[in-house]
Amino acid sequence: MLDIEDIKQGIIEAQQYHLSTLERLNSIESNHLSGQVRSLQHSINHSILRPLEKAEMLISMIEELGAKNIPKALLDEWIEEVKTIQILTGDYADEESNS
Amino acid sequence: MQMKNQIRNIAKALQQTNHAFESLSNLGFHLLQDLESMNSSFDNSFQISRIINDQFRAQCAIQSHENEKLLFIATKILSEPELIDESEVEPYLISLGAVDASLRDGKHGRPIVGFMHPTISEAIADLLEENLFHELRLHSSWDDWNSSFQRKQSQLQQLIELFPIEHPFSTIFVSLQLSLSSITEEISEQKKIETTLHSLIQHSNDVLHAEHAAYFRLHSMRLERKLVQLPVRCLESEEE
Repeated sequence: MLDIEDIKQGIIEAQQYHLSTLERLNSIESNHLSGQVRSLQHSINHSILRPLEKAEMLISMIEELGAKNIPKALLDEWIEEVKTIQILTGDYADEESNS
Repeated sequence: MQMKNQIRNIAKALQQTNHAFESLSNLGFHLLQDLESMNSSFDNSFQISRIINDQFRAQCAIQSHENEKLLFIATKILSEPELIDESEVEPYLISLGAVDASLRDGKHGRPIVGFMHPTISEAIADLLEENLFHELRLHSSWDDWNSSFQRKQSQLQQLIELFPIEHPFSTIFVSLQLSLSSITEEISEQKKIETTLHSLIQHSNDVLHAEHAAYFRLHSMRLERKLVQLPVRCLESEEE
């Protein structure tokens, strides 16, 4: 079983961490680093923040509809998707307090 | 005089049985209508249920036919008591004797084709007439279909409890009840698909990023393919 509240908390923490990283990247004013900064920002957006948003949406749909009202095959697929994305959440609460 | 009274009792019990068989035949007919509607929407997925129901209807016809024969003998003897002394009537009196014996045995007496104990006949008539008006309603949603089949499952469950396992109706009711479970599961799945699809369409319109919208649209399309047209309940007269 998924601990939805735990995952949601993990998503929020990961989003905060990566958004603050994006802010820090935005503040870098260096012409010779601009390419790498943009690439890193793009990677954070597309490889981390978008999947996290997707997981948020899937969780909100599961909560809105109720797991028992979703066709089983689809629910299983969504749960797998959320589990995969959950890997991206890591343990950012500690990381943020350390940074 | 005593014999006449006995035959009168037998005739009354046979009349009650006849009424119960009519109710059972109606149940078989309504099930047929619903199964036909479901089969036309679900690509004949429930043919087994239809076959079991056909068996049930055939058993009802056999039992009713025997019941009418016995009822005819009883009413004939009641209207012409002098027939009792005729030797040709003896085999018919033996048939009525078997009914009398089963009647005296009580609720689960010896099985006689075309006869049921009045306690069972009354229970069947009460059970099936109670829900008769529901059968006249049109079904405009999956919820309506679900309620209709769940009602029938509950009726079948109560019918199962009325008959001993040796009775030909018993296993038919058990099989029918089990086969209706797969139908209610399909109905419930359709209801889930409908609800989820509605929500997915809404989410795919609300999302900010095109890739999320595409993801939800893909799931919508997959679900749409699984969506079955709501069966139309036919309220026509019995097909031949």
